[in-house]
Amino acid sequence: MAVFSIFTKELKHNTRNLKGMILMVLFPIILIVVLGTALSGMFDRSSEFKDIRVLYKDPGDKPLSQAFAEFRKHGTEMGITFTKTESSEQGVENIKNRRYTCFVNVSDEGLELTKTDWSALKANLVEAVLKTFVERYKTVAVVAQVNPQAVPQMIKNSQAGDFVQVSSLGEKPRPRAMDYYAITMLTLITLYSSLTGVYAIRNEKTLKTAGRLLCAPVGRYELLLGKALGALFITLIQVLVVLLFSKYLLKTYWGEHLGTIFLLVSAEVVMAVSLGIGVAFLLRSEAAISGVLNMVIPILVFFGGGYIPLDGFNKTVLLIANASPLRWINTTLMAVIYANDFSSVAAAIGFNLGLGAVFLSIAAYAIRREGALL
Amino acid sequence: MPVAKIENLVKKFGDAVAVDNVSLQIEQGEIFGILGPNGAGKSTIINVICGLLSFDAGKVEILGREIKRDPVYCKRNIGIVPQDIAIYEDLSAFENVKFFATLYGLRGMGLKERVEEALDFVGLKDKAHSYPKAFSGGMKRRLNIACALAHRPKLIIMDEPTVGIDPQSRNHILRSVKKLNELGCTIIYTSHYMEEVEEICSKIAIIDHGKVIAEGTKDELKAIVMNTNGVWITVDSVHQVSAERLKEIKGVVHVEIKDNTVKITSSADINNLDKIILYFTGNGIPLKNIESKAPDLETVFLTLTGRKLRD
Repeated sequence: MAVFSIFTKELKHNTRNLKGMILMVLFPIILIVVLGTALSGMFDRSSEFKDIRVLYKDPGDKPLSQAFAEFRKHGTEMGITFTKTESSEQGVENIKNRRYTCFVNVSDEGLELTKTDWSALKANLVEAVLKTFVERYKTVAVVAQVNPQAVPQMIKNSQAGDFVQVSSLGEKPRPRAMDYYAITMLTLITLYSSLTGVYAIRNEKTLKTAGRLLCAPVGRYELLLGKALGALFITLIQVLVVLLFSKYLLKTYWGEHLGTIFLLVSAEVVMAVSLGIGVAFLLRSEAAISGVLNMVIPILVFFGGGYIPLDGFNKTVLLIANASPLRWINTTLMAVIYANDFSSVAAAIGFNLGLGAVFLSIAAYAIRREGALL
Repeated sequence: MPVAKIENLVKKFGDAVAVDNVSLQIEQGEIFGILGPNGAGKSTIINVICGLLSFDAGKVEILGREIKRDPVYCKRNIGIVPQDIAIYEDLSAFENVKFFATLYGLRGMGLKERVEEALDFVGLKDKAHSYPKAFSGGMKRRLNIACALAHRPKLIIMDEPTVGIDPQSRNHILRSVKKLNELGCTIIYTSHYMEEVEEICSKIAIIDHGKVIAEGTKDELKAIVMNTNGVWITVDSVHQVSAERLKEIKGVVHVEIKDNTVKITSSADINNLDKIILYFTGNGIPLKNIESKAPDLETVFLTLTGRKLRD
């Protein structure tokens, strides 16, 4: 029963701690909204076709002229602007002066595309779509020679968006900025619940109540258990509030397996709270504790992809990232939400619970020491 | 059966001996004072009795049971009022007392009654649902005491409970201690305020450098220094008074100068009052008042250790 008394006391402390509630509930919601809105451009597919201006020279009698005309027709539907020029030199000059995204010269040799660094991303996109279109055109031409009846059906099946899907994006749903940051901010703030663990232990020292607790007929493990359960429970409630708020009020996408999502985040809560409790026992000075956590948490968050997605980083960074429990949780959440892929759920939960068990074992060992809490 | 029995207790911190072969016996119904300067070992003895600290040698028994063998039974019968205020600022007074009471196994309606009883005892019943952050230092001290009472312990240990509070709260606490004792509680009371110990304690142990240097009732302790006399001389200004010159007078064992009063302790078998007065008049120091003082615990401590209690 002493465990229950300590547990309920911890809940009271935490629910009355306004600063803690703001950090754990309000702060992640604000971050999701701010980052989700401010960085939406990084995730928005439609923006890739905006403001693309292609300058071209096509006498109209070249082998690929007909194919290029078809490309212009579909490109216009996709939002690309085409402008004709009569001179190649003028075309190249316009690209150098950054008036157009790229210059396409239709000649006897085929298609030549001229681009500069400043518009590389958009020009590459035009190049990729153009290549795909031309390849398809050549295929149709070959089929026309062998089986002319099949051509109308092939053309009918070709839609403007096909090129984009073939070139890069695929058909799977992709997270919007708000969706991405809902996941990463939730798991980031969950890491900060290590502070809840720290304060559960440190407060008794600061308030001088540890001695009084140890004078009572309460076992040291009962004390540790009550405190750990209290910190875990309140953090789980806070996480659930953020999760439900983001799902139902911010309309962020959490997939179709909310139970699994909550289970994964709960495993991270266990790891984070236990980390805090363990550190509170290992280090005696408050400055040292806050120094260590302020160093460890941002590193774990970075390698977890909490600040920016790590997909573009080199293999070494990705290898190191695997040591971050947050990385395991974030990638598994993405897999579950966007691919219904559950293959790494057990590993992610196991890794986080395992780390939690290590930190709690450290605390359980340390609390036996005389004066550990004093 | 004594409520608490300490036999040849030794506690070391590294090479430093904090408690050196201490033996004490606290009987039912006593207010047992442990008197000593800061760092004498009082709190270490208290922490050992409460089960907070282990010890290197000796034996500690509470109500006949050894604390090492049966810590839960011993702890259940002890109420501790720590030296530092040990309460939660974000729990109300009621919640504070209730929380600590539940740790001693109290539940249900009985719990509520005991909590109210404890708050009433320290005069905080009307503040039961207020938060300690709005309390004065004295009120916090009283709540600190209430947290030790709700489970009705047989032995209450108060470790310097009046440190840093106003005289009104101090008097309230001292009255509470006496009242608890009248209700049948045995109390161990530590302090370095000699006046408090002298006022409320029925038996006193004087501790210095981890050792018991004297033990007994007030009268028994004072009997140790019955061979001294005290004279308090009040003057307009003490600037011209030399303690060293006064100590040269035959029979003077100690001189203390505080504010405008010169406190002189002399051997009882030597009548030197005329020489002391002559010193003052001879040096042109006008006397405002002369008082003869009976020995107190301060004198006892001074005589036994050669220094003042609050040095």
